[in-house]
Formats: sequence, C-alpha cells, structure tokens
Amino acid sequence: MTIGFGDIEVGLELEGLTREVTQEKIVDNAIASLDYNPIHLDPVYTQRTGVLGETPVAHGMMTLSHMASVVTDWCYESGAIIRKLDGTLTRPVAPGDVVSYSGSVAEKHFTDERNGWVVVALRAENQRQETVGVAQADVVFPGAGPKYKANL
Amino acid sequence: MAELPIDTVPAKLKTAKQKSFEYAFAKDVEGYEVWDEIEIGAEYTAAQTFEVQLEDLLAYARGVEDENPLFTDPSYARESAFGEIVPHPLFLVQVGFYCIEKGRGSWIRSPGAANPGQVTEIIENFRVGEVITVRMTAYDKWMRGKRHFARYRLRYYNEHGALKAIWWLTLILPRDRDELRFYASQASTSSRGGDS
Repeated sequence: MTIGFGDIEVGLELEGLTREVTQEKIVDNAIASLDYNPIHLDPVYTQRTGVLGETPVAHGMMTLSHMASVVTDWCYESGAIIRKLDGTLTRPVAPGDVVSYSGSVAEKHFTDERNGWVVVALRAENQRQETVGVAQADVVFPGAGPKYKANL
Repeated sequence: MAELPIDTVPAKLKTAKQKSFEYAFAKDVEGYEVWDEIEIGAEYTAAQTFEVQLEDLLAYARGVEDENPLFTDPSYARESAFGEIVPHPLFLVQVGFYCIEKGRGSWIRSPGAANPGQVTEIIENFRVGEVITVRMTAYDKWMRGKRHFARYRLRYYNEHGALKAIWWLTLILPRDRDELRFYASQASTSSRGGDS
C-alpha cells in the first residue's frame, strides 16, 4: 500500500511488530551484521564478567533494526526512505524476552509542494512493559504522493 | 561440554564475506585501539573496502528477520518505486564491521564494549556493485561515572567519491589495554579462536 505524504497526520500510529528473542536469532544477527562481540554469543564470558547480566544479550543494533522495520513496513512501498535513525538503548534484551515495537508520527515538515519528511517516534518494550530502546526516524518522502499545498 | 552459541556459527555462514571474516573477536586484541589511546580529531581510512553484493544485502535483511520483499526479492524490488533491491536501513553496520576488521577502528570489536545507542544517516541507498570505502574520524570521547565513551564518525563513500552514509558510532569501551586484556581473557576458548 502506498502512502501520500499529504495524507499523513501528526499523531498517526504505525502498525507495530513483535519479536521473540532467542539465542539462535542472536547468532543469526551476529552473522548478518558481522558483530561477534562475545557478550552476544559466549555464556562463559558473560558469566565471568557479568557485563549486562550473566547471559548473552541481543545486539543493540538488532533492537534498532526492528525499530527501523516498523517504519520501512509503513512507508517504503511509497518510495520513502529513512534519512536518519537516532536510537538509544535503555535496557539489555535477553533470550526469552518478547519485544514489542511501536511508532507514531511526531512531526511533519515539507521542503516544497511535493516533497516532505516526517519524524517518527519509535519505542521498544519488553514483556514486562519496560522500555528497552527509543528512537527517532527522519523519513523523507520524495514526491511519492499527491501534491501537498503548503499551509502557509 | 554443551555447544556454545559461537560454536554454531561456522555451519551458518553463507556469503563470501561471512566466510572470510574473522569472528573470534577476543583473539589478537593487542591490535585494538583502546579508549585512553584515542586522539580526538584523528582521521583514518579503513583497511578494507566493501564491494556490495546482492548476497550481502539479502543476508542482512534476513538476519534481522525482515522479509520485506523490497529487501529480499530482487524481482519484486525491480517493479517498485526504487527499481532495484533496497538495502535494509541498517545494512551499513555489516559494511562497517567488514571494512574495519583489521587495523585502525578495530576497537569496534573490543570485548568489554557495550552499545548505548547509535545515530545513522543514509544519504543514498547502497547499490549492488558499488565499492565502499569507510573513512573514520575520532570525534569525541568522555566519561560518565566509571564508563568510558568514544564516538567516531564513519563516512561511507562509493568508488566515485559519493558520500553514501554516515554512522555516528558510539561505544562504551574498556578504559585501557589492561582492561581490554582482562575482558578478552574471560572469553571461552571458542571466542578466542581456539587459543588456550
């Protein structure tokens, strides 16, 4: 489904997604990203050091990737792209966690009559409703929709 | 002894870059830069370049459980507004780790490092066939309590010198080489690449 930039309103809630975290998925993410830090893959290491707890944890970039997916699922069919993703990780995510990702349009700006960008506020929460990450995505819509008259 | 997660890696490697990449991060740490050695303003070019292959793009998307056909189906993507396969927005992570596998910037591999959050910017999507060079600037370092933060700016250029992406890479790092050695020594044998 394509989205017209002119149809977007501040406050719009994006369709969220949920991901169950498993050690196997963490391994897959390590291979995909080439990030093999032992904190993600080595329970001997995490037990000895106690860094972020005693079990391996998911990559922070895995959390940010899923937050990005909330946005890409919403608007990439329209030719929009995430121009900037600014994320903060607030809690470790461990195997067994179920993380819910959500987002909403926080700001809307235009550059000319046809082109504009929005800011999407993103959040990730675990099954205990604890925030594990927040992010802000600047999303550019390059003239994909109907003409949008600036309300000057 | 039960199989460790890292022991399952070799059987899962698929792409050429995955197979050639050194994944024992706790090995050879003497070459890693440490926090107290970082010189603000210093600039480096990563030791390796990255030729973007279709398999690299597909591997990243699938590895982060994103089956969006724009990212995973070249035929579908060709018919889209983009006209070609689209990289997942955080594909630059794979490129970054690959390019700075060795030499300057290899602190990104440090045992003991932790991720507080990141800022990434996409100027233009990576395209299959492009050869990416990463240039790094040691942007800042600071302390918060007992934690030592470092921020590098990674700029990704294609073979024509076009700026494709920026990663404001921030990590909490081991303070110094002794601390790095400590963390490396705590890894299992598998994580150290078989070293005893």
